[in-house]
Formats: sequence, structure tokens, C-alpha cells
Amino acid sequence: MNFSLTEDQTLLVDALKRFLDKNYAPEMRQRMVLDQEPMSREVWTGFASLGILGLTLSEEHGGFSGSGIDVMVVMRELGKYLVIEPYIPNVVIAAGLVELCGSDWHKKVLLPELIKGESTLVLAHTEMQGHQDLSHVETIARQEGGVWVLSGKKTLILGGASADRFIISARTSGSSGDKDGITLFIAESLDESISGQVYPLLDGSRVLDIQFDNLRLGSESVIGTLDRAFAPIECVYDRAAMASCAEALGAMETAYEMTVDYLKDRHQFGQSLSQFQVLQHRAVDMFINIEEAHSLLTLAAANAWGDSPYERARSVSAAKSLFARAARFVSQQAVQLHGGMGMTYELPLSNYVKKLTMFDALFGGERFHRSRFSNLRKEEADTTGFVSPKKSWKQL
Amino acid sequence: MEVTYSKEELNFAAEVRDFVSESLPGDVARKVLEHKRIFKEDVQRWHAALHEKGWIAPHWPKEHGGCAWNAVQRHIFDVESAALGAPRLSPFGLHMIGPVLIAFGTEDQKKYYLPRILSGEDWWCQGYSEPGSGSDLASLKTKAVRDGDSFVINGQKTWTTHAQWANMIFCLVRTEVSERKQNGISMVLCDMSTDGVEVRPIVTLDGEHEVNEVWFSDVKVPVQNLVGEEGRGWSIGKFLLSHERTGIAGVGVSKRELAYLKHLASEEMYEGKPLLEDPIFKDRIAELEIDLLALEMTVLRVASRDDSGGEPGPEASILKIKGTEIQQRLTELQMEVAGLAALPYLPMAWGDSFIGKTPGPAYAAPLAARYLNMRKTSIYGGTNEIQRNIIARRVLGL
Ligand SMILES: Cc1cc2nc3c(=O)[nH]c(=O)nc-3n(C[C@H](O)[C@H](O)[C@H](O)COP(=O)(O)OP(=O)(O)OC[C@H]3O[C@@H](n4cnc5c(N)ncnc54)[C@H](O)[C@@H]3O)c2cc1C
Repeated sequence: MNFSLTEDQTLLVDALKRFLDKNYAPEMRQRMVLDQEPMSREVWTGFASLGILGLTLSEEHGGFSGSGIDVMVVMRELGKYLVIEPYIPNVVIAAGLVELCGSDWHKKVLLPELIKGESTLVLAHTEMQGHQDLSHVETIARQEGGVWVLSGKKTLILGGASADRFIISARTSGSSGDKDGITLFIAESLDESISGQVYPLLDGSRVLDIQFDNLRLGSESVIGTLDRAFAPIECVYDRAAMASCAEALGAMETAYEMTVDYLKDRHQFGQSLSQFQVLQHRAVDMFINIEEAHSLLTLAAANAWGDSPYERARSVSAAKSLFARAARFVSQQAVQLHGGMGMTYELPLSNYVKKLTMFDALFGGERFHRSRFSNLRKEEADTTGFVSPKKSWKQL
Repeated sequence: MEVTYSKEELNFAAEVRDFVSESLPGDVARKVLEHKRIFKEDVQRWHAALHEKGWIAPHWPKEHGGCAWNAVQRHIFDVESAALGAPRLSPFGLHMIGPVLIAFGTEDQKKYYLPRILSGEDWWCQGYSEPGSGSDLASLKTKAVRDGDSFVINGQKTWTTHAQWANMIFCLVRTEVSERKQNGISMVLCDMSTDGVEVRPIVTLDGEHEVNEVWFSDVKVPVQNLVGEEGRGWSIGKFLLSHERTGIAGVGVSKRELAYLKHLASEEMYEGKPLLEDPIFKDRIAELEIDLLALEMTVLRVASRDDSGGEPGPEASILKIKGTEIQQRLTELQMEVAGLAALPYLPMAWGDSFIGKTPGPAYAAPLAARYLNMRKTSIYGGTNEIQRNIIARRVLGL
């Protein structure tokens, strides 16, 4: 075992840091949020030049054939700067799906422009009604002559507000809740049969709801095998969960550093707050939470792009549930130890607190991951490729 | 000992319920129950209804217009009215400066201010905290210098809740610099419309305007507005804080929010069953409900002890700590019920007049903001760390 970063990884982190220092000062981020911009094209092009838009994609299409650990180190930095550009939805989820199950033709057409940052692609999967389960797909696709006709609604599409194209999941057989019978389609976001509504989330990022009736798509729009999209969706959601843990790690580390600095600066009762032992211990508990989370994240990152669905699911669920607790504790204590200042909108800390408050609801919450962890069966997972045999996702 | 409600007490509860159902404006109740934004007028309408009934000051002595209810009656009132969606009344007049004036005020002050607190004519705010003096309140620097018949105040207060709604502020100010920082502090009452008083908003985590900075530049306050003796404001200020802490347990509100949590969890489906039947979620709710029951009994125990003595003891700090922890966990679990639907940030959807559609169910829209807002409860009214210090020192003798 070796836990140190490779030279390439160190160089990548340094370059990314330099880029973000220059292009992602808190004021600039705040301006984007206030201007209701879903993403900055300049930043996105910058990411392309740094090579991170093709991080794990194959070299054949212009990617870097990187590992889960590469994704982890990148996401940790994005978390420190609270980057709102939709990296996970575009790179980890959508491009990941194309690479996992797209045809050679799809890969050749789509991946190079995604990697160069020339176009954006995200998955439209979540449907809010009913209990949210990765197999909960009510959107219908039926064949009419040579074309597919889709009708349905998708909600909370991360990265949707800036997407040029969507991968839409739709039911081609079975009924909602069945794992079989889900198929992926690619569609242009400007297609006139799609109507949408953009709105902000708590952290200022902007998401999209869409609705479409009789959206007509050619047969080449099907990505992957008919009826068999569930396993790849589950796989990219696991990777996204891992990436969101890495992002939360960066956010927690920053919130923690801000808090320790504050304890040193702020004086009450003629001494700095950092001299009160009870506050020292609280800061220590924040630190321990972060270190433990970091450790499990490393395991999840190493398995997220691995061959065994079982190891992937097990390590991701372990990390995601531990992170839920850590994110809650660290963000709450960061506020508490700042006293009244911690309650202010204006303090940069507030953005980290909001980001961490959102963590549990995305990509499976603490309850889901803990119960998946305890119900996982190695043989079943590795042979079917399904890692949530009986359980469903309350929260995606 | 008698730990069940007597027949009279049950009758009283029924009387409270009847009154609240009849007199609490329906639109106000709905806003409270659905976590919508509450405005000054909402609180004032409920205040007026209680005033008319003669129930506005349950804890004040009769001679000053109170009901002189005992601790159990006050608790019953708290629980019953909260359950039906009564908004929280502004505590600054009724629970803070009112009891202070009753205990320390001059006859003139009582005659003038107490009826105005009861009627709701005055809206008070609390000028204690300063940028450099939060937990260490006694280090406060806002200065008041005697000039003939007036004090001239200079300095800054901060975190002042609803100063933008208030026409009166009570302040702790330094009238004398002395070796012991607790000496030389005085309490003065100041009209917010006096020249030199300026209110600047502070926006909180949830994006709302609830607290303010209040600046004083050469503000002239008549000497008659001094409460108690000059330089002895610290003990008065502390008397007031201990009253602030009892109200803060919020058992009534937490019982209501627990019921709401269960209701939401019974409607939200998870794995083909209501979330309320999920073993893990059920366990979390049970844990919280047991804590709340313990708190309720503690409130009654502590409060009935106060009935004999008058001033709430340092045990009130237990109520503050446990009460706020429970309030905060309730917001956490409510947010968890909503899952993804709690994530959209749509402040306009917290308004009563909102007619649009939210991405998820309507109940989910204000939950994240409420969770963030309620983080304040372990900070204000003396932080929970300071409450533990108080218990350690004054109860445990450490
Ligand atoms: C929403 C809100 C509304 C408020 N409304 C009002 C109001 O209307 N009027 C008013 O006067 N004030 C109000 N306050 C102010 C409130 O009383 C103070 O925020 C509080 O007393 C803490 O002071 P501080 O913010 O300066 O934090 P600090 O005192 O700087 O504390 C920072 C952290 O250090 C800890 N700490 C400090 N000293 C010790 C110690 N000795 N031992 C252990 N830990 C310690 C604290 O617990 C806290 O976690 C309000 C605050 C908020 C957040």
C-alpha cells in the first residue's frame, strides 16, 4: 500500500489550485451566483486546458485514463473553492455513461468535444413524484416507425441549466420500479418539444426541471443496450457519490480551517477563544471527523472505477454514510464556534455550511447507504452488476 | 407528588384550546404551521387577541395586569397554543424588560411602560451584545455619559433581533469605567426614533433579515430612563437573562414540530411504505420524542420550583441546552423527510401569497432555510457552552 500522491497528481493539484486562486476568488463566485449564472464558460475552458474534463476517459478520445484517486484529488480542490460549475454531472455522470455504455460512434462523436469543453452533457434521470428510487422511471419511450417518442418529466437536473444535451432515462418496458426496462436516450436541450424551468439550490448552483411530450428521437439516440441502463446508472451514481464525498472533504477542511483561525483571532474574557479547553476539544472532534472521512474516501476512490461492483458499492456506501455524519457535525460546529458571526450570510463560511447542508440529500443519504452497506451480498452484486438488490434510493 | 394533570388543569387546557381555536387568526396559524414567513403584523394580531382576553402576561403578577398563572398553567398554555399554530410572541417586552421593570423600575416607569407592553403599543428590542462583547457581555463598551438631565450614548450594539420593528430598546451601557468590568454598567431605555440611533440590517444564513446592528451617536436619553441604580445594571441584566432562558425551552413548539414531522413522514413514501415505518427513521423519531418528554418533565419540575422562589435558578440553563438541541434536531429530521425536495432555494415560496409551484411538495420549500435559521438557538440567549459553564459553576460548584 502507498497513500502518497504520484508526481502527476501533485502537479495536477498545484496547477488546479493556481487556476482557481486566479479565477475563483469568493467575490467572483458570489457574483456568478447573484447574476444567476449556472456556469462560467471561461472556467470550463480552463478546466479543459488543465485536462480535468477528460480525467478518467480513455486516451483514445482525448482523455487521460485517470483513476478514482485522480477524481478524488480534483474534487477535493473544487470543494475547497466551492466551484459551482457542474463537474460531477458532466464529467463523472454523463461522460462516464457514454464511456460505459455508448457505442464507438457515440464515443467518437461526443467524448472529444466534452473533453475539450466545447459542449456539455448531463443526465436527466430524477423524477420527484413518488419515492425516489434509481429504478423509479415513469418517463415513457415508445417506438413509432423508425423513431422513439418520449414523454415525461425530469426534475432537479444537476448541471441542466447549462447543458447543451441531455441523456434522458426512459422506460422502454416493464413498469416504474423495475430495474429492467430502462433505456438511455440522448437529446438536444434546445429541442422544441422540451420545456424547462431553471431555479437555484441552496448553494447558489442552478438546476433544471424539464417536461416533454412526444419528444421524437432517432434510433441513433439510444445510448447503450435497450432496457439495460440500470446497472450503468447505478455505477455512475456510485462514482458521483464518491466524488461528492471528495468535494465535501475539501469544503469541510476549509470550514475547519476558518473555524480554527477564528478561535485564535477572537477574544472574549481577556483571552483568545482557542484557549478554552472545551473549544479546543470541539475543534479536535471536527479534525477527527475529517481525518476518518478522508480515510474511507481513499478506499472508495480506489474502488469507484474498479472491476468489482461489490467492492465499489461497499466502499462508496461506507464513505457516503460516514461523510453524512461528518459533514453535519463539522458544518454545525463551524457555525457554533463562530457564535453570532457564524449565522451571517456575508461570512464566506456560510457558503461552506450550505454546501455541506446539501450533502446528505444528494446521491443517496446516510440511511440508504448504511442499509445498503449491511445488505450487500458479494456474489449477487458481482454477477448481476446490481448493487442495490432489495433497497431503493430515498434520496438520489 | 402528583405528576398527572388534575381535573382543573385538564379543564384549563380545554379552555385554552377553545379560546385559541376561536381567536387565533386562521391565516396566521397556517403560516406558522407551514413554516411561512411571519411578519410583525401577524404577531401583533395574536398579541392583541390575547391582550383582549387578559391572557397576554401569564407570568406577571395580577396587580400589573398579569394572570399570575402557576408553572403548570403556563406550560399548558404554551403547549396548547403552540399546537394550534400560535406565533411566538415577541419576548423582549413581555419576558424581559417587563419583569425587570416590575422588579426594579420606578413607579413612573411601571405606570408608563407596563400597560404599553401589555397592549402591544411598544415593540421592544434588546441592546446587550456588541461586536467585541458577546459571551463576555460584561466587557461591553457602549458609553453613556451624564450631561445634565440626560445621558449621552455612544457606541454600537449588534445582533439586535427585530430592531427594524421596534420603537424601544433597552440597553446595557457603561456609565463608569471601573476595575471590575461588571461594575459601572447601567440599564437604560431608549426610544428608537431618538436622533443618532441608526439601525443597519444583518442578513443571516437563510437569507432573511431578522437581526441588526444598532448604532448610537450622541444619542440623548433622559435620566428618568435609567432602570435601577446607576452602575448596578449588571445584576439587573442577569436577572433578565435568566428570564430569557426559561422561555427558550420551547416545549410547546417542539411538540408541534414533532407532530408535524410524524405527519410528513407518514405521507412520504419510502420503499413502498410510509417513511414513518422505516425502522431506522422510526428509531430516530423515538429517540427524539423520548428526549422531548424528558425535557417537558424537567420544565415542569424546574418551573414548579420557581413558583415558590420567584427568580428562575441556574437550572434554567438545562432547559436552554436541551430545548435548543431538540429544536435543532427536529429541523434536521424534517429536512431528511423531504430529501432532495429540501434543496431548492426559493425564498419567495416562503411567503404566504406565493401561488407558484415548487419543484417538490410545498411543505419542503422552507425546510432547509429553517434548519439553517435554527442554528441560532444554540448561540443566542447565552451560547450553549456558556450555559454549561453556568451549570458547572453555579450548580455543580466547580
Ligand atoms: C439570531 C440571533 C439573534 C440574537 N439576538 C440578540 C438580541 O436581540 N439582543 C442581543 O443583545 N443579542 C442578541 N444575540 C447575540 C447573542 O446573545 C450572542 O451571539 C451570544 O451571546 C454569543 O456571543 P458572540 O456571538 O459574540 O460569540 P462569542 O462570544 O464570540 O462566542 C464564540 C464561540 O465561543 C464560545 N465561547 C465563548 N466564551 C466561552 C467560554 N468562556 N467557554 C467556552 N466557550 C466559550 C461560544 O460558546 C461560541 O461557541 C443574537 C444572536 C443571534 C445569533
